[in-house]
Amino acid sequence: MSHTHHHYAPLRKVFELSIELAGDYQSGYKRSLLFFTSAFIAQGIAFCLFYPLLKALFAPTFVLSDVLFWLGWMAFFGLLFSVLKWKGHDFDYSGYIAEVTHDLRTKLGSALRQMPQEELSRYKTGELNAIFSSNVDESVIHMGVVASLFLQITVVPIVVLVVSFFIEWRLALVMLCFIPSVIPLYVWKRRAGIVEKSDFNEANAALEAGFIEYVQGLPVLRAFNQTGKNAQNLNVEILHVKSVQAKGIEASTLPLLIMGILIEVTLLVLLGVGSYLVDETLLALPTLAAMLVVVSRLSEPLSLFLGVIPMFDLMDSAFLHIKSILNTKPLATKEPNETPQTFDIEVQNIDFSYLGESEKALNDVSLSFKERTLNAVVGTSGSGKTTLTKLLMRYADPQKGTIRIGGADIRSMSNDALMKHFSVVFQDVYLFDDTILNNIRMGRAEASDDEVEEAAKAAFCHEFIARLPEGYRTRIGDIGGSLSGGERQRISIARAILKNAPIVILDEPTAALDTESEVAVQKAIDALVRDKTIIVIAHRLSTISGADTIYVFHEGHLVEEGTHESLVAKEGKYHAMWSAQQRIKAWNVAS
Amino acid sequence: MQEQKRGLWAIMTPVQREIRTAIFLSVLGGALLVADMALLAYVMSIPFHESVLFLGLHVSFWNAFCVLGVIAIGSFWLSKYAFLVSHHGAFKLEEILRKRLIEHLAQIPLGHIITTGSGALKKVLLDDVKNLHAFVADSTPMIGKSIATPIASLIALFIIDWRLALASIAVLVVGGAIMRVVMQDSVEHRKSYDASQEQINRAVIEFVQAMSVVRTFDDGGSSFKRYADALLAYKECLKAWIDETAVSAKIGMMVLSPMPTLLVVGGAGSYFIAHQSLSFAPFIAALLISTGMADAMMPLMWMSNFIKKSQASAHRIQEIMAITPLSYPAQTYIPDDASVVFENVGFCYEGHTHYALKNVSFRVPTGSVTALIGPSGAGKSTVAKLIPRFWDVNEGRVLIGGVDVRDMDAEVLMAHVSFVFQDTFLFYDTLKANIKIANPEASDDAVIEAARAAQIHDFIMSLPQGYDTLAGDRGTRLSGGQKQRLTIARAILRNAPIVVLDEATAFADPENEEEIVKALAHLTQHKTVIIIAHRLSTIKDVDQIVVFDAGRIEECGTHEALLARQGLYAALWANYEKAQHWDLRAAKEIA
Repeated sequence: MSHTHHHYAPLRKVFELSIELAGDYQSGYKRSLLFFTSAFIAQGIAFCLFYPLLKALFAPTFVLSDVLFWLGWMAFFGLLFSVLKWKGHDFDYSGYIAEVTHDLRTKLGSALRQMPQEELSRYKTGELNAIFSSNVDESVIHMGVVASLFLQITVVPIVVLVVSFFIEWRLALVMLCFIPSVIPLYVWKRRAGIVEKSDFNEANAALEAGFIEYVQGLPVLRAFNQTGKNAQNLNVEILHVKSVQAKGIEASTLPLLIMGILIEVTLLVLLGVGSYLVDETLLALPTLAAMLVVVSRLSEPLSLFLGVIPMFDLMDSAFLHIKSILNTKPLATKEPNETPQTFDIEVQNIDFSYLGESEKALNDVSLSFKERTLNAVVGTSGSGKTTLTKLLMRYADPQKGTIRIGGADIRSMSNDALMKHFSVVFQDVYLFDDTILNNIRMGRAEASDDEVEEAAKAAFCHEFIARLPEGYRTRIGDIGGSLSGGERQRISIARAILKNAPIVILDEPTAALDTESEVAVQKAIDALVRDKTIIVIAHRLSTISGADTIYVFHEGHLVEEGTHESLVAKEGKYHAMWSAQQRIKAWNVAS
Repeated sequence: MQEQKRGLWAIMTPVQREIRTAIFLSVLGGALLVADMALLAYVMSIPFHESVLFLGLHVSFWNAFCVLGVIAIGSFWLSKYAFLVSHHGAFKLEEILRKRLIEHLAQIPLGHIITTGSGALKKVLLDDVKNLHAFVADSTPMIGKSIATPIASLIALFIIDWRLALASIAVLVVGGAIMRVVMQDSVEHRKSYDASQEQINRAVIEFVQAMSVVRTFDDGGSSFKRYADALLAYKECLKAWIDETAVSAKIGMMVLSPMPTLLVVGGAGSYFIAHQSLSFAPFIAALLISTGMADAMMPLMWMSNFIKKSQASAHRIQEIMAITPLSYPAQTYIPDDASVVFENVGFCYEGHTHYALKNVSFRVPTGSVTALIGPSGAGKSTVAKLIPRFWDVNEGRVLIGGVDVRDMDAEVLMAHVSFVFQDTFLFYDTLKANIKIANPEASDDAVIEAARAAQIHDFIMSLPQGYDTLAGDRGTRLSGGQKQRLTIARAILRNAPIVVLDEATAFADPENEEEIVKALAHLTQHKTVIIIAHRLSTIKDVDQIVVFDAGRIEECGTHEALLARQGLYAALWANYEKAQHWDLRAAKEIA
C-alpha cells in the first residue's frame, strides 16, 4: 500500500473521523465535546469580565463592592470552566479511551479475519502491525485532547469577539481582521508542507532504494572497495535528501512563525488604534487595557495548536489506515447456503487475474478432483498451479467460472464452513507462542489432551515432544530456535491430522528440509493423507508419479492431464520436465 | 574497543553548535516577546500627544510604539533564525549520521548485516535518522522558548511588582504540591502499564503475522481468540492505569490553564489598587505576562513523548555503531596457492553461549572438491561463512594458501574466494555492468564469454536491449534462476581460484536446475570447491566429504570410505535413499 496520498487533513475532518471512530462510545464522546464547548464559553466569558472589572477598578470613584462583584463573577465563571472541563475529560480519563481502543482493535481484528486473502496479501506485515498497535494508540489516545484544543481555538475567540463587539465595535473589527487569519496561515503551512513532502518523498524513496541496494550488494561492493565514501550513488542520494529539505524549509516554516507572533501583532495594532480612540475620547483607557488582556489570552491556545499540528498529521494518516482496513469488504456469501454432499471438487471454466494485473493467472481452467483420489498439480512457477489451490479455499473469487465442492458452490458456504473441509501443509510453518499442546489443538479446539497426543503420535512428533523438559506443556517461545524445520513441520501436520478435514492440500511440504527431517515428515504426511482427497503441488515428479491424475499447468492454462505413464508416453510438457529431472539426478559436483 | 557515549545528546555532538545557537536565539526571541508584552501596558498609559521622560529621554507615544514594533520584529527574526539554524543543523546531522552508518556497515562483519537484514537496517538509516532530525529541527527552538518564557516572565514580574510575582508563583507551587500528593506510586503502575503495552504489541504482531498462514488452516478463529484475550487484559490494565493517574493529570491541566493565575493576580491586584499601592500600568503588565510560566509548560509536556521516541532511535543507531569492525592488517599477505585449511577452529555466534563450531580442523588441497554435510544446525553453513570472513573465528585459524584470512586485506581475500549464492543481488545498472563489477577491466567479449558459460547469454540476447537492459529492483524483473545464473557469470568472470557454494540456494528454483547445473560445471572447473550439500547424490564422487554433527567434525573421507565406516554418513545416506523413493501413492495404498 502506498503512502502517497498528497492531501492535508482539514482539522474538521480529523474531528469528524474522531467521532466516527468513537463507535459505540459516540454518545460519551459527544457528551465530552458538549462539556468542552460549555467550558470554553465559560472561559471566554471569564476573560471578558475583565472589561467591567478594569472599568470598576479604575473608575473615577473607586467602589469596592463593584470590584468585588465583578471579581466574584470572574471567579464563578473560572470555577465553572474548571468543573466543565473536568467533566469533559471524562472521555480520556474515565476509561472511555480504553473501551474505544479495545473496540477498535476488536473491529480491526474481525475485519482482518474476514478480509479476502488477496487483499490481505497486499499488506506488508510491518504495515499491519503499525496499524493495529501504534496507529490505534496514536488516534484514540489523542482524541480527547485534540477535540478540546479544536474547541478551545474556535469557541474562545468567538466568545471574545462577540462580547467585544458590544463593548467597542471598532476595535472588534480590528480583531476580526487579524485573528481569523490563522485559518489561511494554517492552510498555507499545510500546502507548503505537501509540496515539500512530495519532493522529499521522492528523494527519500531514492535513498531507500539506494541504501537497500548498498546493503544487499555489500559482499560484492566490499570486494571492489566501493563502500563508504566510494559508494558514489548513495552519497549523492544522501546529499539530495538534504538539499531537497533545505529548499522547502523557508516556505514551510514562515507561516508557523507568523502564527507564532500573530497575537502580538494584533495587540500592537489594537494599541495603536485604541490609543487614537482614547485620545479622541471615544474609548476609556481601562476598556482598551481590558481588551489587550483579553486578546493576549488567545496566544496560549494558538501556541498549543502550533505544537499539535504534527499530531494531526499523525492522527489523520492513522485514521486513514484504520479505515482502509475497516472498509475492506469480506467476500460475500451467497444465499441460500449450500452444503457439500460429497468431497468431489469441480472446477468449471475458471478465469482469474490478480488485483491490478491484466494478465490472467488462470485461463479457462476446468478440471475435477474426485473424492479420495490423489491429484498432483505440476508446472513451472507462474504457471497457475498455486493460484488454483488458493482459489479452492477462496483466496479470492475468480472473475469467471465456478468451483463446487460436492455440488455446492464455494461462494455459498460461509468461511467457517468452507475451511472445515481443508487441511493445508506448507513449506513454512507458523507456530504460536503457546504450548505445543495448544498449538496442535488449534486443529480442533474441542479435542481432548489424549486426542492431541494421538495426533502427535501419528505425525511422528510424540517422541521428540516427550523429550522436551515440559513435554506437551513446553512453550514454543521458550525453545523456539531449537526446533528444527522438520520438527516444526511435523507439529503442523499433527494439527492437520487432528483437524481431520476431508480435503488435504500439500504445497511442497518437504522442499525446504534436509534429508534427515525429510523422511520423518514424509512418514507424518503418510498418516495424514489416508482416506482423503489429496491435492499436491510438487516439483520432484518422482514423489507424485503414482498419482491418480497429474495436471500440468503452463502459463495459466491446463495443458495436459493424465497418469504418469500416459503423460510420459505423450512426449509433451510433462515428459520434458520428467526427463530434465532424470538428467539432473545423474549430475554430481565432481564430474 | 573505545567506550562510546550513549544517549540522545551524545549522538548530537556533531551539531552541538547549531543546537546551542538555536536554543540561544530562541531564548532571546522568547525573552524579547515577554518584554514587549510587559512594555505594552506602560506604552498604553503614555498620553497620545505628550511625551514622558524615560532614562533622560523624551519619549512620545509613537516613539514608544515604534520601539515595541521593533522589538516584536526583532523577536520574530530571532525565532526565524533559531528555526533556520536548527533545521540546517538537523539536515547536517542526517547527512553525517547516514554517512557514518554506511561507512561503518562496510567495515563490520557481513554476518551481522545478513542476520540483521536490509529491512531492519533501512529502518535505522532512514526512519531513525529522520526521527533525530525532527527532534533537532523542531524541539530545540521549542525548548529555547519554553525555557525563556517562564524565566523572563518571572523576572519581569519581579521588576514590575514583587507581590504579584509571588502570587503567581504561589499558584504554581500549590498546584504542583497537589499533583505531588495525588501522583504517589505512579512508578509502579507505569511499569505494569508498560508491561501490558508490550504484551499487546506482541499479541498484535502474532495475530497479524499468523493471519495469512492461519487463514489457510482455519477461518482465523483460533488465533482471533488469543488476540481477543490479550486485548481484554490490556483494556483492564489501561483502565487501572487511567484510574490511577486521572485525578493528578486533570489537576495538572487545571493548574496549567491560565484561569487560576489570572484570578489570583487579578484579585491580589485589585486589593493592592484598593489600598493604592499599585497603579494602572504595572497591574495591566502583570495581567499580560503572569500566565507566561504556566503557558510554557504545556508544550513541554507534549514533548516528552517525542523525546522518548528520539531516544529509542538514537539507541538503535548507536547499537549499530557499537559493532566492532573487522580488523585489517597494515600489510597484506598474498596466499601461495588455492588451498583452504581450518585449524582448530572454534566459533560462537554473538550473544550465544554454546559454540556453533568447536575444534574443527580439515584441509582442502588446491583444485580438490570438498562437500560439507550434516543435519541442519550442525555447523556446515557456518564453516562456509568463515572463509570469506562473514564472521571471524573465536579460536584457531582459517588459512587460504597458507595465509590467515585475517592477514589479507578485503580485496586480496575476495580475489581468492567466490561465495556464489550469498550475492545473487543485482544492482540497478545494465546487465553488462552487473557482470563486469567482478572485473572492471574485462572486455565485452570476456563478459559475453562468462555469460555463455553461465547459460544466460541466450536469455540476455532475447531481451530488447540485450546487455544494456537495466536490472535490479528498479529495472527488469528477472526470475530467481536468471539472477542466479547472472551471478554465476559474475563469479566466472572474477575467476577466483576458490569457490564456495551452497547447494540449497543453488537449487532454490527447480525449474532452472538444468541450466544452473551446467553453469556451475563451468564455474567449478579447475577450482578448489567447497560445497554445502543437501542432496547426497550430487556429492558421491567428491574428493572429500566432511560430516558435521553438533558443531564438530564427526567423520571425514570419500563416499566409499564413509559408507564402510557405518557411521553417521552411512545413516544419512540410507535416509536419503529412502526419501528419494517416497511415493504418496504408497501411503494411500496402505489405507
